[in-house]
Amino acid sequence: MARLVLTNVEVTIGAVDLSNHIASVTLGSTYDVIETTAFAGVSGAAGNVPLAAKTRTAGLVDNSVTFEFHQDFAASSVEATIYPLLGTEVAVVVLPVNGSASATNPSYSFNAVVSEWTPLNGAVGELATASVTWPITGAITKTV
Amino acid sequence: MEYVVISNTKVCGKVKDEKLTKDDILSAGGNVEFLLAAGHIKAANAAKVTPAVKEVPQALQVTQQESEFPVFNLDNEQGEI
Repeated sequence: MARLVLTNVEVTIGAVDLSNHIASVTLGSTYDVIETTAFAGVSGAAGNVPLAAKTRTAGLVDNSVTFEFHQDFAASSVEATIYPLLGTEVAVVVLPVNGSASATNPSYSFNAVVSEWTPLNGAVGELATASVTWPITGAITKTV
Repeated sequence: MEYVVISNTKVCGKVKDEKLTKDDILSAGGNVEFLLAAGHIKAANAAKVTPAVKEVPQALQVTQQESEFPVFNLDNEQGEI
């Protein structure tokens, strides 16, 4: 398997391709871990030491996506696209490489809640950026 | 209804000046009103708005000389009619 250096990730937010203004993307899923240990479930022993181990199962999954945007106030660019979406749900599609989805280039589709936005962020001499982490509502659909 | 991409960013995979339909937008998870408001697209078949100019019928045309009402000359400092 070939390793992948990210150079051409495709990010579409609300059907708008903002890939050329995004420098970083992180798509993550974390499951709640539910403990299921019960008296009768603890058993086993190794020598004189009892193996009393907890048992667990996966609960609900919590998905989120993090982007680092390069801010741009030009017409129909980053600010014009994201700011009106604040407080709403938006369809997002992420592909490792710009192009069609395939087994080696899976597409991840989901609805994110635009819960935060930083219109202006940066120090003197720095690029104006906006780092946001948006919770995902519902499941992530992987298409190959 | 058809729309045209007017922004420099791709919309539903379409570049500037390419057409797309409402179904294209909805299937890509987009919102037509949002895309219109954000300046990404515009209606492709938007009719040109031309002001309607109606001709005034000849009978209704009143010239200053034919008017039955007195015409006051505001430039007349002496107030003569």
